Amino acid sequence: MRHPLRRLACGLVLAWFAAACSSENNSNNNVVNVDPSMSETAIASAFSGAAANSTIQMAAGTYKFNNSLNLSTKDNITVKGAGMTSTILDFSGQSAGADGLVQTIGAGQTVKVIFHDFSIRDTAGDGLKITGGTGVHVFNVGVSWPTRQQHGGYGIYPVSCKNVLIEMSSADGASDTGIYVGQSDTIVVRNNVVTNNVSGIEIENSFNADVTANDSHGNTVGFLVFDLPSLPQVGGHHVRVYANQFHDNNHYNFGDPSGTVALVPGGTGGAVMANTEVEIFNNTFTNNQAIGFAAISCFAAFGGDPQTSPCFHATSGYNPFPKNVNVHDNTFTGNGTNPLGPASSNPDPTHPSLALAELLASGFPPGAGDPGWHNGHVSNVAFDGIIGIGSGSTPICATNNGTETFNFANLHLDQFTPQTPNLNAILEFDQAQFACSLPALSPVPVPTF
Amino acid sequence: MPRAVRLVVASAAFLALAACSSSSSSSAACTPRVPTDETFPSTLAEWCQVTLDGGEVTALSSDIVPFTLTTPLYSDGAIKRRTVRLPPGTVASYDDAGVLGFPNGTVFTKSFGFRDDARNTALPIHWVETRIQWRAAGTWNYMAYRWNAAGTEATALQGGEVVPISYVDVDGASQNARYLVPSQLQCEQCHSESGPVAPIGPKARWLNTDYAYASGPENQLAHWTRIGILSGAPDPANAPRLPVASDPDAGTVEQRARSYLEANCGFCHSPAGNARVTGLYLQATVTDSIQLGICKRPVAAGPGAGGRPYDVFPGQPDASVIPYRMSSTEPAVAMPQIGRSVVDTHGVELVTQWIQELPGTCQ
Repeated sequence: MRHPLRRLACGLVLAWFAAACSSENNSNNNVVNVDPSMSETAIASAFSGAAANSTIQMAAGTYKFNNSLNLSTKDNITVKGAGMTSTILDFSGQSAGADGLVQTIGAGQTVKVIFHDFSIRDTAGDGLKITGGTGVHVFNVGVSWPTRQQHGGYGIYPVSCKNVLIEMSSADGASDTGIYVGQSDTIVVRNNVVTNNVSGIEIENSFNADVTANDSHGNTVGFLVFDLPSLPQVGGHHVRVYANQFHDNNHYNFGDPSGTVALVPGGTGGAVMANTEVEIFNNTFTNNQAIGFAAISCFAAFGGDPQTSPCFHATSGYNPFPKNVNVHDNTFTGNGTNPLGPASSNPDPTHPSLALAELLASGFPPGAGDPGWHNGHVSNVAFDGIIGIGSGSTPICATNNGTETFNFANLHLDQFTPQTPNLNAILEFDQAQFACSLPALSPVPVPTF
Repeated sequence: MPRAVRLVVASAAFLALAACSSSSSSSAACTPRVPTDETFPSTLAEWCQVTLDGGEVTALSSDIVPFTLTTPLYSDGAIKRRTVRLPPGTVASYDDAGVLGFPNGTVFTKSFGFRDDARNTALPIHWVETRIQWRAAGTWNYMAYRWNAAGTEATALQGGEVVPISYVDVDGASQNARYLVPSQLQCEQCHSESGPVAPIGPKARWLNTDYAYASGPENQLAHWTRIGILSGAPDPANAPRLPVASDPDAGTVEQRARSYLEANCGFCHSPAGNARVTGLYLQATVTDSIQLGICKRPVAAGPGAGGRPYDVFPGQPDASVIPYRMSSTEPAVAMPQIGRSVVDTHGVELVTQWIQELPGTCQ
């Protein structure tokens, strides 16, 4: 074993001369050792000056950071800890930079990066944020906010990336989304545990994603597949969500009131907005109090006023409707038992999530003999009923999601008016109309590293 | 005379005089470094471009040119001094829109310091750091050098540092800055307006103003042309110019607010910059109202949105995200994300006034 003083000396040398050293060493397995006895600036130097094809090896222990930790944008860097519970990056004292571990890659570059076996805690903003990667592998990484009162937005957050694989990781307590992949292409999110976030997992404005074998519970909503207007990449499509567990997602919504996720009622298993070709199958949706699953248009979220709705003022190429959302062979148990339940515990009584929760509750008032409240719960699968003219595709097909009658509801928000805000009067249980079949989507190739 | 203009003149006098004095600095005999790669010396002295002399940033060779920008980035109220040196015999090419075309070997310095009381210009300036930006083999590179307390030596600080600094600002308010000496990558985080890392300030529209050289005041574009380090520049009257945001006589509220927003936000909030994924673009040339944030919902702001429905809500600054984030010093809320821990109250007032006067509504 190396003498600890020798290791310290190496760290100090790196602090001053990392760039000079690294430019001469381009081989694989160029290991840069980092340990908690090093100063923050020495560690930041090691991350900043890391050469292509190098591994930053973070010894076990707790690392305290006051500033964001920025990682070099050289190709093929690995940041490796000694284990999710052993190597802790603690940002509870952060006073500069919004996010925790950050890699910001310029547009058009080809940069692969690997993160594994460490945890990030108590960042002011997002936990792990990677912009512009062309190969991003995150495994055995945990992000959480155990002591900070105001939690950051996203836990694990690749955006504008290609070939993303997030697995065996966890995110707990994000005030937006635990694992969020935005404006990216070719994504696999599997075998993760996401808890106590507003949204557990979100695939937003992205192409070609597989979300599978994840355990998402204790969130406001288990998962979201959204396409939002006015972003550089729109037209989200080809997303498979299969063999996941979405259960007990009954946290009241604590998202910032102006964020998109703030619209989602607590108690939602999952939702799709305005995406094309989303296949949701073989999942279990259990004990989500508001609703199991809903497919909605941009208008259901942001309104349909032609003057003000962002759905009308979208980036070119944006389509506000859900298209070819195929929900089949899922198991729904105990969902929709109390659509206003989580909202009733929200310390913010005017939180925007209340609006859709109340709307849902108006369609499914509890009480014997009421046509909206069947088998003691809200329909497992719902569609907002807003259909684009001449879209050439079906908004949703729902089959084999349980045998009970009224399993499926068309909320018919197309007939909704503020003057008659009672959903019960307009919704339809026209399951047969949407009992269509769609071809299975092809698996997304798992990125290799 | 507006305060901002006075400051420019004052700083110019210091640097211009310094460029002529060669006796007092111990490093004056050195030859400025012409870099050829991304490596950097461990001390600022080895660059032989600027040093501190009599408490001021001092150029170490007569071909080092001090310059200023019409509207600078606000950096916790720091005083800034900028210089550029091109390798002897080389010329920068003029560009109407982007950064001027600087040749390999070009070295910029930007020094940051504070007076204990910004109202009293007789007080000494405590210099915190000097940042170097250099071009080698077609690529721009960055390093911050941290001054020691005595101001006798500045050493490379690749990993950055948060420096607590207490001072009284120009309005007499006490400020406690958590001033950030950026890590090398935090430099690049902002210097990527068009994708690849590059300078931000030295564009025609920011340089197109007078500077008080030792030889007398002269337009910077004209001066650079006259001394032979810039080619292709039109008469300054025909070159673009963004107004001094802090000078009410320099333009309309909208012109000055857009100038401020480009200087302080546009380097990230541009189609190829680091905030490209937001779709919010704040360069002064942007005309699309949604891209400008008008009636645009915040996307991934998390707690940074402060519950406000739109980035810019015409007529309703209190319902707009941009002034909220400009007014915060919380790391997760504050914009820009790095390099500001003190609120620029004058900047907030200007942007607030712009939003207040914007016509139209969102809902």
